[in-house]
Amino acid sequence: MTVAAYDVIAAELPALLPRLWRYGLVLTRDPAAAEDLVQATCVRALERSSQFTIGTRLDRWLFSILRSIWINQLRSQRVRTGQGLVDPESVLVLDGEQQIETNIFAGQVLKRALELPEGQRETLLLVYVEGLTYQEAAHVLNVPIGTVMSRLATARLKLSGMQAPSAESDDEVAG
Amino acid sequence: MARGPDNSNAGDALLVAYLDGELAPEARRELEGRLGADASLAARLAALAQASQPLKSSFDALLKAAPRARLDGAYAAALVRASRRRPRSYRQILTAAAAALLLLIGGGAAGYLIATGPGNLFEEADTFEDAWIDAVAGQLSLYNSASVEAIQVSEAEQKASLAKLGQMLKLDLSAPTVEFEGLTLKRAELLHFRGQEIAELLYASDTHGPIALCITAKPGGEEEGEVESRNGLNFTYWAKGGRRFLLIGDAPEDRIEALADKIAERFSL
Repeated sequence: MTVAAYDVIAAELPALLPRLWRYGLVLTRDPAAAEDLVQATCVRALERSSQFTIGTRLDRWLFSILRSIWINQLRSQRVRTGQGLVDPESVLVLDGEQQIETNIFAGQVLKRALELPEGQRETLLLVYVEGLTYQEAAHVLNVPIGTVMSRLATARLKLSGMQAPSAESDDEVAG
Repeated sequence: MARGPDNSNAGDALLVAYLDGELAPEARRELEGRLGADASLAARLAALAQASQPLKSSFDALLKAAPRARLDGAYAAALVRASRRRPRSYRQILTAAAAALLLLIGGGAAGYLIATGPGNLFEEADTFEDAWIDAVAGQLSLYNSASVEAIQVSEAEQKASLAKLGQMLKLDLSAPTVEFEGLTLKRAELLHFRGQEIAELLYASDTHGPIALCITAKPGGEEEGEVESRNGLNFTYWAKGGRRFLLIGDAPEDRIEALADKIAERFSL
């Protein structure tokens, strides 16, 4: 047990909650599921604090945990329980009422981004929004760096409406 | 540093990586050389540069929409849950409880509490859950591969046990449902713990130590666990459809996790 790592996580995690939730939302496209993912991520991070190396980026470590919980547990469970995957249209509505306030243009960009395949939209978020380098994104996503490059290029072309040579390819590597 | 993309939009991927400042110096110089000589490539680069979208500001709208009070509540619950499971010092437990309380009072996390139930947050370590897992872990840690392999139960006897347990749990426990690749069912028996009946299926594993699947009737909501360790064994538990499942064994975390997924799928009601 590493007390120091636990203390660092407990001190810094609360400020990161909204960003974790946003990543959860981009993955699940469901605000409630994103909330569940955040809680499961917090529990796992606190329980496995000894695996966190002080001095490295806590946000990257938490992104990896959140993603792993989504891939290994919640996503398959949702498919199993018939909840399936959520229509991107409904993402912009929280609690059935509270519309996310964005200006119209930003709202359209967001909506189109959330319509991208899962691999592309999470890569987009990590690199262009969260500011991860390609290398860091490849590490969090557990894919080769070339896959990060392809996903970003394809996503950018789709978002801009430019012709993509392989527009339909989500270039997901196996697994 | 980026080396190269892995599909047919290779050219665009390289240009995007160039725009993102992600090309290694050598690749950058090489591309710049080609850009100087190839007007169509340069035009493509210009088009890609122009087409960039205000992604950061668009996605930042989501941060503003994050349900902060509920997330604080989720974090408070996580602090308490984690403090219950990890071997921790008294000081840390006090700190966790204090932090959780402060968050709940200050964060206005009432919505979260109503959703999850306050009992969930402040359960003590000695719940049925923990005690049950401890008991099974204690029992299973007495077995190793050889001792579980040595268990001999006739096919007819096993069939009868499975039928009886299945009847008790109102679950189909017939052979194909409880057979898993790489595992051999050695014994199915009825156990009791604190007045609760538990069906235990004990398996020998081709590649690891013994693995047990325990199922008990448990009215109430659904719950999902993660893989944790106790007595040197990995386990995960979940509740669904009025039953509680515990999968525990002397096997790596990912094996337990994958197996749990398969079992949950088999018993999805």
